Amino acid sequence: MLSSDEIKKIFKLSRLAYSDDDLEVAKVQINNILECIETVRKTEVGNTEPMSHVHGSFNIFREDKVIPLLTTEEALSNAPDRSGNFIKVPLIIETE
Amino acid sequence: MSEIRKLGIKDLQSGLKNKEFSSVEITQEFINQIKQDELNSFVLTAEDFALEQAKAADQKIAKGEISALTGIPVAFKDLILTKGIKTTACSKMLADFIPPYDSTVTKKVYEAGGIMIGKTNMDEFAMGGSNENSCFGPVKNPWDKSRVSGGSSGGSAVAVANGYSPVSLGSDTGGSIRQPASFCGIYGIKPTYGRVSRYGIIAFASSLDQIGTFAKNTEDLATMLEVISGKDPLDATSVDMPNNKINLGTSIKGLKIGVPKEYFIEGLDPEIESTVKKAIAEYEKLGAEIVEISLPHTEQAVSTYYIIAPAEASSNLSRYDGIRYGFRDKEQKELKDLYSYSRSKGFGEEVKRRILIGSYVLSSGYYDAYYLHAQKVRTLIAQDFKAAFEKVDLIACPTAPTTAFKIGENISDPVAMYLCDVFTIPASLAGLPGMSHPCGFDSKGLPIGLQLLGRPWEEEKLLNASYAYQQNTEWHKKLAY
Repeated sequence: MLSSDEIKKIFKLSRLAYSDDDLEVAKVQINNILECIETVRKTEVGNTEPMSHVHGSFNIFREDKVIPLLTTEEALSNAPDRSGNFIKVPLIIETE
Repeated sequence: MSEIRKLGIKDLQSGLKNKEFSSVEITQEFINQIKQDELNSFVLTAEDFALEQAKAADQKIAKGEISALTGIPVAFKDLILTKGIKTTACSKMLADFIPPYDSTVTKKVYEAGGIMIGKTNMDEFAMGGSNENSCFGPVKNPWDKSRVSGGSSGGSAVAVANGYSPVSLGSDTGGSIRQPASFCGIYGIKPTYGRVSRYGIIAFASSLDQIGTFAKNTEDLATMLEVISGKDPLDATSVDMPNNKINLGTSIKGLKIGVPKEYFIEGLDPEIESTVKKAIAEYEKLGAEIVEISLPHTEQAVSTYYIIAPAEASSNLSRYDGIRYGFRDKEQKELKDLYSYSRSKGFGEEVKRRILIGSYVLSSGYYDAYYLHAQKVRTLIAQDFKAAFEKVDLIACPTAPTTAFKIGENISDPVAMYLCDVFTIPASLAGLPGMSHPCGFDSKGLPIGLQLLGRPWEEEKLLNASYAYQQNTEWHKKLAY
């Protein structure tokens, strides 16, 4: 059972802002979900190898060749805020 | 023209060839139907774009240049990028996103002459099994408007089931094509992982996501699959397999169909059990040999999925930070706040829930216990199937444990919602091809689907069996409209 402090830590890891209400709801739901996925932890796996890809593909290489995909204008076309060919963001260095 | 919406690819193309109607006329007719939609299945109608494409198709038809989809409208799930046409994943996060490029499947449909008629509603970022997690609201079931369409590709399923488009594209991560196909009484296929390029698809869980298609009949599924399949240099996980013409109509005499005992369990609606068993008996009548099999790790599949899929989702969705594209909370003055508030305000509840779970199971101290362990159980699930396919050619089972449930019925209980995918998730974890075809109705008049699963790359076997069943039954002729 995860505590409120642990849930807060997960919100922080996930880069999600939260209110006290969010925290309370998440605490109940996440603990329910963790209870449901507990069966996995109890499954005996012995020396079984983990599967990250169903066909066992590994390191697929291609030639390092430049191909035209997006223009600068296209790449920036959905930027929420920009200045010329730059994306504008708020202050990066913290004030405190 | 009222009959147009009942037709599939083959009949529409023969009408186009014989000049009974033009592509512009049928495209306009489908668009008129979409405009009267009361089921909330489309989030965007691409009227001008589609009619331009239809005009070009008519010119080609006049010259006798006809490809697999020339002049045929196709509806696209709203996570498939379409250059210059808004693609939102039904999330506030991407509410204004206009893709600067086309996905590979988009290009393939265009190259085959298909008309992009509109973008369909879905669960936000494909996370959900009822289409209730969309920022555009739920999609209603055409057989009973008080019920869900299924999800996450609910809009694409309804587009076909209610005659707004002859075929559509969807995506399936844990059952998001097969389950809504079953709930809506139509055909849906999730190809083998790697059969279809994921380039230009808004990602949910990259080791599971696969693009597939919905149709009114098996032949149209086969046609669509031929169009969208193929190795793509822009998707390293796509696999170079021969993309041959799919042959339907071969006898299924002697075909060995396995029926997994773990799929007929408590919680399975008894009406579904009897209907699916009747359909399996029909296969036996057609000459198939029915064999009981066991997939011992079935019970662990949902839990395994709900570790692996959220883990991949939390990683994939970290790109939405309010900086380069997507929603930005402009009230925030500091970068850290901009990240967390843009994400918090841009994502819906289910998406946030999955990011939280994913971050937790990948976090230091828990990675081995959850994520790594789940990956090992995933291997065991895949091995179960491998062993079963040494004895049988196909597996037949119910697609979902219930028929379409009421809107709102499961929304406050994520775990209950997750269990809706209990029969579709195992094949997703193993990367196998799977499809759902209609096989009857329950006493409430709601459709029931039969799921067929096959060995990797053996989609043709699934489709051929489905075609044999279709030839000898009438379910595909039952329409919701």
